[in-house]
Amino acid sequence: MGCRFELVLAGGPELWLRAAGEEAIEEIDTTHALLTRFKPGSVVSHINEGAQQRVDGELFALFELADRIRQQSEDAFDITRNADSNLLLHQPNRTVSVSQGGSVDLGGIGKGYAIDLAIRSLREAGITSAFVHAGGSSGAAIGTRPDGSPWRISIGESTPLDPLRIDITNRAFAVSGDAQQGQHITDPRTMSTTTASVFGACVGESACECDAWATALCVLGARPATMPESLHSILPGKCAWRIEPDGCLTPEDPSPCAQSTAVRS
Amino acid sequence: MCAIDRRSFIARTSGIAAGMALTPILGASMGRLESTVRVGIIGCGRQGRAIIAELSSFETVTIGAICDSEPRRLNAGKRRAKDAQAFADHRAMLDTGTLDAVFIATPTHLHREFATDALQAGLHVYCEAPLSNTPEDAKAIAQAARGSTNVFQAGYLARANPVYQLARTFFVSDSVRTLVAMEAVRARKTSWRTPANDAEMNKRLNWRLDPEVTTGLAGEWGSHQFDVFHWYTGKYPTRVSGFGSIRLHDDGRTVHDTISASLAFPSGEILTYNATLANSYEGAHELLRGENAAIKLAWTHGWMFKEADAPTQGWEVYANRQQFHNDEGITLIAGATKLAEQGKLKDGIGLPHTPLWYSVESFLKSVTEDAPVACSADEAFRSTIIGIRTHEAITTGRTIEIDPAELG
Repeated sequence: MGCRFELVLAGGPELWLRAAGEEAIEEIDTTHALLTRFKPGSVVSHINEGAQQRVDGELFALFELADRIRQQSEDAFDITRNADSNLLLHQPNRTVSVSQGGSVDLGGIGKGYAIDLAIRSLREAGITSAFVHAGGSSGAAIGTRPDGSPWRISIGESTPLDPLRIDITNRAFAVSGDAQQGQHITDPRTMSTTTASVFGACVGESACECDAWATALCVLGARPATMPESLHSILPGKCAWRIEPDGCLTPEDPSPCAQSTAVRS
Repeated sequence: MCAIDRRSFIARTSGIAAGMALTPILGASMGRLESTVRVGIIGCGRQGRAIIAELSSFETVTIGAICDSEPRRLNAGKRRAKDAQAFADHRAMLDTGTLDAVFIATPTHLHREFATDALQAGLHVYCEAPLSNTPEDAKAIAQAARGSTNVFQAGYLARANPVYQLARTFFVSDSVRTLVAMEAVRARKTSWRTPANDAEMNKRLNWRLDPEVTTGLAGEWGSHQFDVFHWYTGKYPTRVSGFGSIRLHDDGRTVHDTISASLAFPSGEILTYNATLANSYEGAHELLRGENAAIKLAWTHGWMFKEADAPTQGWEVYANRQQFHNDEGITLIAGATKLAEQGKLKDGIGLPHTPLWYSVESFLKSVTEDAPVACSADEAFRSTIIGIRTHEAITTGRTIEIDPAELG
């Protein structure tokens, strides 16, 4: 997936933590092998070669999610790589294909998907304190840090803006933006690079959803009314945010937050 | 059991040896079989889930049932095979009478019960390799398979792998000529542990680190690679020695994390084997050094390195080449001619499917189309025994003599 994944695990003997971490990394490796478009054996390569690719239930659900977010974001997020092509999902036999001449790229959702699978693997192993991130732009936390404090994320460090700080516990996040990599976000509606927002960020339960929505927010420059209420959207400004136990996102100090947007609905 | 006669092989495959590079042997992206098959999976750990993922790509396969006594693993299997009936007990699964075939992906030492029960239930069986952790159990599986009219295939993956099949045609058709030496490596930095929350669970899940049941690196990894040499040469070692130590994972285990072994063949060749859990450089590969060329195989890729004085062969005009430090390797690409015609020769480097997919496909074709079995129980039995004996040599520090009669 073109980035380094890092896992921070705490709360048990090292032997056990290492074994749990290795299982999580295997989930990431497996996901990469399935979703990369740069290797001939991957599911995505087969789809891009024109196959009606039959996939297992879990992977089919990912393609369904990607298509749902495309609809909700009014095409601001789209895994197909050109404006005229469509993702074709056939539920009865779980086949995935793309309309003729098209191709798919799961770069905007694959990292989050891999993080979700890694987090699930860690939870199933019994891990109660962990933080997993992919290239610093997508991540998720299990529980708190070993000292009981939430995991703190800083967003927008490399932008001209003051960074936003978000504390999370049992949450996922994703940031999409141009500051670090130049203009690399493509607006799928026009197939040109977008300048709507310096960055878009999302906090929610699933890193996969956050990953896709962060891209959509960056493309749109504003939160659409169709974005699910369970997701927090964050757009540039000066503020520090805290995710409360009830899931609400509140500013630590409301006064500078006038320039920021962080809403659930 | 005898070595393949090179001359008779050439006679039987005349026109194919060179042609294999020229003939498209890679199938369509999605598996297509002539008839439908309903399968069950026993064991939903990492390998079982990988099998589910591969099976899901076959249009005419229905995963009817999955089975695992570990609830966490059964749930993981259910997430991937959403329509399958889930069982904690394999007998209950077999008793449904609704399956045509089962895939066995349980810990090695449990294969015997599952494989023999499935064969007795009249099902076709795909059993992961090695067959078992003891010669007795491996023999029992092989005997049960021999006594059955159903298909039995063991999961020694190389035998169904198009790259390995292609390279073998070159090997047996004299491209390498006199075999000088054989080498194999498997390196991966991993603890080889599964997270377990109590001693009982640890015993159950971390069977690879349990000296009572494990066949160690030589059996679990090595036997897969030994099988490549057995398949290529038709020969088996008669003397094995080796060493092992714990180089990195000094966590209370007694099973070696690093081993080195020498397997001596009666005709003089020596297979040198190295495996480690402490470093991942070079991953996994097998190397056959010959008088005229060396063949290097690495799962999805294969290369031939020719000696300067080796005769030129016609197929080389189609070849891609890759530089490895001072050596130039000719890439062995299955279906090279078709890819060349399409201008996709470079795209063809590497397989379009995983080695596991080809093994699964091969089994399904044996079940539905009566295609030859890629790796029979008898072939798997012999490689299993070599793995067990090599592990024994390493753990005891003794040189082990292998009586050819032991291999059946």
